[in-house]
Amino acid sequence: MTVLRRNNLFVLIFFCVSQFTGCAETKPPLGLLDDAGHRVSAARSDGAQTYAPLELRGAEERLGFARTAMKAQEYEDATRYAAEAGIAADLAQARARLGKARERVAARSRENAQLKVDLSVEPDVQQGGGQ
Amino acid sequence: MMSSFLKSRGRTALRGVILVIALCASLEASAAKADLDYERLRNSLAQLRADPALGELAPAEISLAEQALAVLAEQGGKGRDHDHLVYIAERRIDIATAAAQAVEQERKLQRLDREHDQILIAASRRDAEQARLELEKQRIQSLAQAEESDRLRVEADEARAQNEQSSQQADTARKQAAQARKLADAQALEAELARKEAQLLEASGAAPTKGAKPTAPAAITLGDNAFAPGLAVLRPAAQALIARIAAAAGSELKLRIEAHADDGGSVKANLALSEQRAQAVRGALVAAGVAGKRISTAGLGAKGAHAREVKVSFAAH
Repeated sequence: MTVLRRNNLFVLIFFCVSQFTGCAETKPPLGLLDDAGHRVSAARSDGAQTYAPLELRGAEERLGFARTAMKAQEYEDATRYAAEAGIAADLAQARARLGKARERVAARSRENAQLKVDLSVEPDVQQGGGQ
Repeated sequence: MMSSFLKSRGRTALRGVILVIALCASLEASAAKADLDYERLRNSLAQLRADPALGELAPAEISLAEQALAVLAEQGGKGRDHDHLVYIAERRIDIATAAAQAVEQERKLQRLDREHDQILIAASRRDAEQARLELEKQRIQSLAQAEESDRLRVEADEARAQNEQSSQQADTARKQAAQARKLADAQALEAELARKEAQLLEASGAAPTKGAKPTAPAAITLGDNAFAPGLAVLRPAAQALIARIAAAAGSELKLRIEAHADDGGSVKANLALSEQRAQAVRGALVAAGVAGKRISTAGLGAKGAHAREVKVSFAAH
């Protein structure tokens, strides 16, 4: 009997501790959600709509999932989706910057080629253009 | 009895728990080894890191990707957790790749900007060279024009000098013509005087024989018109007779000049006036070429109311 009582006591203590730590891990990820929202907005501002539409759509989709989970008080899912939305937004932003850089390179290459034709000049420099 | 039973059950349960734990550990180890996603992502990241063009362009992003991959390797997870970690790690690697490519593009853009500047500089140098050549061409043309101007100016100067020379020659010709005309006039005058002399000789009855050499007259008289009343200055009209007298005197005959005055003044004054008139005629003859030592003068005073004549007589040696 003593052993059984002692085991019950351990079970009770374990339950309380697990409940306490569980509540701490699943608190509402408000900061994470806000951060993800800001990163998606930043990606959109950097032209991800044009240069990385798929990545931006994935980020927005994950952000929507996170908000839905937040409303349903499924905080673990909300945390996971918010983190994925943030990283997807970062990827969209990076690819948008890459797309813009490629466009500038292409434009400058065309401009240089046209300039050479217009001015009939062949400068003695290494060619820096090309994709 | 009861106690031994409980001890036996406890050992059995403990063995079971240990067996289960060992089984789980074995399963997890085999699962980690068989995580194909992890292997795929690890290869992908290694490929990016080994890329000679991109491997060193985004060190921060590559580091974050490595950390995400390490988390995946350590925690692994199951089901949704695993998928979540794979999702994160995969996007970290994609971000690192995109960032490196963006840096590569920026460097290309910088090279293109430098090339753009070089093109403009080359064009500018070429334009400057063309401008310099054009300036040199203009300078040469200007020099040629200046030389042409100098040549034309020299030609104009030469032409002007020739014109002046021609003008001088024309003046000389005009002067020579005038001199010839004067000579002709003098010859005409000489002929006229000879004609008058002949008439005078003819009137005096000593007409020269035809073909004989003309002889000098005995005397030539300057009439009342030679001098104005009361004056001892020869009138211009008397110059012709002076020239005739000088011609008749030649180079050998001596001359005697006898001058008279009007009787309007005193005797003394009349003598002085007549003497002055004789000297005036003498001076005119000397000026006409007659030697002064061959001329003698005499003022004879008054001769009559209008007797202002001067008589010049010729005598041999």
